[in-house]
Amino acid sequence: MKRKTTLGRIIGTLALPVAMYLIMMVLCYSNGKMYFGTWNMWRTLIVDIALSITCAMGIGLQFKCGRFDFSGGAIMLLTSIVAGNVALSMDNSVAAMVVLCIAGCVILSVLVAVFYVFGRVPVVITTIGFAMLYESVTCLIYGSRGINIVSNMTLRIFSTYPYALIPLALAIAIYAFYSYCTVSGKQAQLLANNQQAAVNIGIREKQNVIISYVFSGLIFGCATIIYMANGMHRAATTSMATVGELFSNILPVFIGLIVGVFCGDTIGTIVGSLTLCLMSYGLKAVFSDELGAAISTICMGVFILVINVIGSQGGNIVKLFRRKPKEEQGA
Amino acid sequence: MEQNIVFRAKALRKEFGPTVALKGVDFELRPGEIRGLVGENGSGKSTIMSIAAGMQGATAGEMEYMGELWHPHTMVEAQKAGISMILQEANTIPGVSVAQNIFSGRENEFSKLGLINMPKMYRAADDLLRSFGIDHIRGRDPIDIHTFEDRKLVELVRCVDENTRILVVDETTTALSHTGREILYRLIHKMADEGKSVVFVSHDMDEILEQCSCLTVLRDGEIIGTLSREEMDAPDAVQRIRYMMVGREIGEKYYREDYDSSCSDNVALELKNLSFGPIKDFSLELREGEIVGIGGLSGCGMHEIGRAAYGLEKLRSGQVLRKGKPVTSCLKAIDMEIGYISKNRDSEALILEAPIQNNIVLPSLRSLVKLSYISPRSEKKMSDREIDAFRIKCGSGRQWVNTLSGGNKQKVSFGKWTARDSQVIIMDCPTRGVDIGVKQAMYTMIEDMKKQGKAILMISEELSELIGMADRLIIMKDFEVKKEFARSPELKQTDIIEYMI
Amino acid sequence: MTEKKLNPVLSWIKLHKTEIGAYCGLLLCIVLFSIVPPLKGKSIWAPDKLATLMSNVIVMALLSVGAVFVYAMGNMDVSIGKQVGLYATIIVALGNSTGSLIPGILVSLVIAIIIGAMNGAIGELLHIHPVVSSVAFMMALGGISTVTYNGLGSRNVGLTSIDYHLFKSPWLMLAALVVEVIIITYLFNYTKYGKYAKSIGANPVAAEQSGINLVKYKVISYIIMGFCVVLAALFQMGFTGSASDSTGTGFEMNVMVALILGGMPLNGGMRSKVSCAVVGSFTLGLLAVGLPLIGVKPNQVFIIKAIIFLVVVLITCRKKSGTLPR
Repeated sequence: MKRKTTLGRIIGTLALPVAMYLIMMVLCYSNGKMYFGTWNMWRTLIVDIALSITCAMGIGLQFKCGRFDFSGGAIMLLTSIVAGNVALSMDNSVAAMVVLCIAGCVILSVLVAVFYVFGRVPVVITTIGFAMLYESVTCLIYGSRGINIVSNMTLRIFSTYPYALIPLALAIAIYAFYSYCTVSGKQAQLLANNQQAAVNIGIREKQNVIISYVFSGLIFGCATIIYMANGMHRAATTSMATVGELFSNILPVFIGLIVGVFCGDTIGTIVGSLTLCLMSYGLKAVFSDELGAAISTICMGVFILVINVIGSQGGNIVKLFRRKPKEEQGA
Repeated sequence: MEQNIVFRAKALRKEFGPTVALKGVDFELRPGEIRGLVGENGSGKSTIMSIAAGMQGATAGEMEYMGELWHPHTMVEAQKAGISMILQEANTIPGVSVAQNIFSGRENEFSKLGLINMPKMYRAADDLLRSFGIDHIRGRDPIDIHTFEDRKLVELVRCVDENTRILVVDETTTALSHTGREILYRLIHKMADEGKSVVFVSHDMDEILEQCSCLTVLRDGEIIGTLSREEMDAPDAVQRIRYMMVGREIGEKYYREDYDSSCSDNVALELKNLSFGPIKDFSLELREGEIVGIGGLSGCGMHEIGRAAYGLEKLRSGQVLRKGKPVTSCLKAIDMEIGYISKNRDSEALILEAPIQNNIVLPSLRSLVKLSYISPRSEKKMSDREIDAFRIKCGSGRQWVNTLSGGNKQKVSFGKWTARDSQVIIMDCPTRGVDIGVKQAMYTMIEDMKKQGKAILMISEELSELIGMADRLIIMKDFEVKKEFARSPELKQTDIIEYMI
Repeated sequence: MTEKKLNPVLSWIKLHKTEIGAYCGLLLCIVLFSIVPPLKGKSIWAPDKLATLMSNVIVMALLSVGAVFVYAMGNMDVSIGKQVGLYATIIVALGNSTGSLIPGILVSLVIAIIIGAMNGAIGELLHIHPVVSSVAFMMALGGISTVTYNGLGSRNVGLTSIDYHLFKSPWLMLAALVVEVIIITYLFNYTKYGKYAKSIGANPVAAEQSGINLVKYKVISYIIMGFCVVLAALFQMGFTGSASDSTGTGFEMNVMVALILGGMPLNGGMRSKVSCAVVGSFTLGLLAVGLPLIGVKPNQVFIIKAIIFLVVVLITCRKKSGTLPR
């Protein structure tokens, strides 16, 4: 195996976000949007990046274990509605909001895990079912008003700079801690790569799954703290509305796996989110808000395709490039 | 309590729903023994030891280990107490390090309060590997960079430590090359000398007769008998063991009786200067009515030749030709009347979760199409014809393939190609995992195919099978042809083995 | 090994328990909604209620029946919702400019063939999971749709000159559905296209070694579904005579839920049936129409659907023993 130098690793890690930054900078400046790259931009962008990273880590933790989790969006929605409304009624108590966000996400995640483990229903079906269930509950509580605290200065402190960095740091710490430091995380890796062998050895699958959902619940809790105040959230009236939102957060996970070859998937996911948020911001700045979002969605679609192709064909592409110079030499 | 018995099972019974795998078995193991366990598929030989090693629980009966009641819940628990088992399937976990594999399930020994200390684990892994004489594998290595054989060695390291009193080797040697097997045999004999016990479960009669100090035969979930070393050395030992395994005389005729290797002059399939992967410049001509066997140790390249002959491999140079036309893909191969039975029967040759009928009819569907309509009656007719011809034991053609026994599954694989009336059949390990009685029937079928003028390329890891069936026997080693033997009654395994190793 | 004799009836039930579960669900709905509403003075069999049922069901049923081909191969297609939106928009736009629905339908068919071919081929040729390419399409089409509507300057477009009230007729809907079911059932069960699709879903490697050209038949399956998507888009547009940026959002999820409720295995293979689509769609439709009739408030319908879904999958999708299902 090729040994990677430290410089090589740094270049590999930063190539993507730096390239995106430069592209967007050129795009913005040529369209007269000179505020790209300024401190103000970073202040606004940090919140989006924090939200994207925390969501991606929540999804990514389960994805690494081989599970496609569709319910994350619904969990965040339901928890934010409950936590927000309760905090409002308790005289804008920030502490209550934080506690409820984290507790709510953990409880809802563990419920999904328990159903999966004891019902033995495939993960995709379980999480789709629970996404529907949680979405439907949002229509029943609080008069299906949802939550809207965009104007509530006290409660929305975590969706502003610099406070958004707190749940972000917490989420990253939890993710790294689980993957690298806990026995459960290491055993989850074994289960993900060869389920039958790991179970034969005696690793307790049920316990491991539930613990992993506790951790992903904690991470989603951090995400919800930011998510809740980042706009208005209506109760989900169309079925599976939250699933679409979730799909857009899976891209940093893919990028994380690819770039993770250089730096580990934790940093890789951060890099992925950074890249996508830069792209989204840049496009929105140049075109209008809505148009920019649409174009950014199209780009993300193409991105997903390209990333997956690179992921599975990477070796072949490298071979293709290597063979050409050799042929030229020979000829 | 006899001090001499290290492990004892009393009236051990195991049921899987309606199936009874063990019917109340009594089994004793003494220290210093290398016990061979043989039996057909479904005889219970793997089941007994998997219960002892903690992989599954018994339905009834009890076990004693070291004089005390023994009831392990997991393999890790059994291993800590001294009973370890190596399985046949790849039991290492890809995507993680060698150390993680070695200490899988025992991470708690390297952690405090749930926090794991990886450097400590890597060091312990390195020490352990060195104590086995394995220098080329390091604890930190991702296990994926190592070959299949090295991974089996890692598994061996995982299973055996100073505490191990009983080692169970379950059909593992098929995966190992010659060097690997030598390491394993050295280890087994070392353990026996130290007063520990080894249980060797295998299908390979030659290996068992060579390495074991005594041998137990099972059939249908019961122990039929045990042979001592003297009985194993007797000249009729193989015959006697076969009789115990099957329960009836299978007669003298097993392989072909004739020594007539005549065949047509027409070339049915030509492999011309094939180069792909590690294989360089391989050539072979297969004639109509001829059985060509290719043998060697696993990893010598013969399985890849089979795949290439069917068009499954991308060739760097050279061609596979049928009647002058190149075979470039397996779809073309089928159109040119070539059939292929992969050695990975369950994953490549058959669709397990489908009816027998669908499997048999699949390559021939195009011929059943009438103006885009495929009548279910024509499908049933075609599949019933094959079921009768091969005498596949099943309720009806609608039964799913995964409910069949190994031998019947293989018959379905054959049926696919006879239904298509393929003229060239490439079979890779055609009788692996098939019971003796069914094997006999298959050899008869293969001989019939030869008489019908079909060309057969038989790739097998069983030398006796190749000697018994092939007109020409090609031995491969290290991806090239080492020697070709012609069919003759004087041909013995010992002549051939020196070219394989 | 010896086998104890199994009661043949019990083993038949075990083998077919998913289908039985699905049909029982449907039967339960029919029985429940036939008995209870009359007690409250309403009836589900009243013509206007049946018309609502039909209009509720039709788009989803048309989509699900076509999706059977793709799900049978073990693939999901999450782009069909956005495809419906795209085709509806095209049909309306071209209908307004040319005065007839036919050009729009033809253009949509062409695009459906292209998208279907890409979805089918990309997965196989580039060795990525086909879901990924359909996610890419979903996002791309969504973005394109928003850009288009932004360019048009309004949130939706409506048919201005064509008379579309024909599409509101429940009889036409029923007829279209019956025709599609017949055609798809024929293709699925009596031609090589369906048989190959099921084989690919059950074991693609074995299918290839038995002579199935994976790329070709995957593409054909996706194209067959594409035709059904265009038909569904036609009826979706026909009901309101308009299309908007959000038309079709979430349809692919409804299709998934309908198929699962109808007993379709998510990994595809030999257990896939067209009946799964029909049973599942009608069960969902009956629930949507019938629950309000027995006094359930509109915002409670959703949670009841979710609970029923979880109960049904608990019964039908359980993996009995061994390791946890993936």
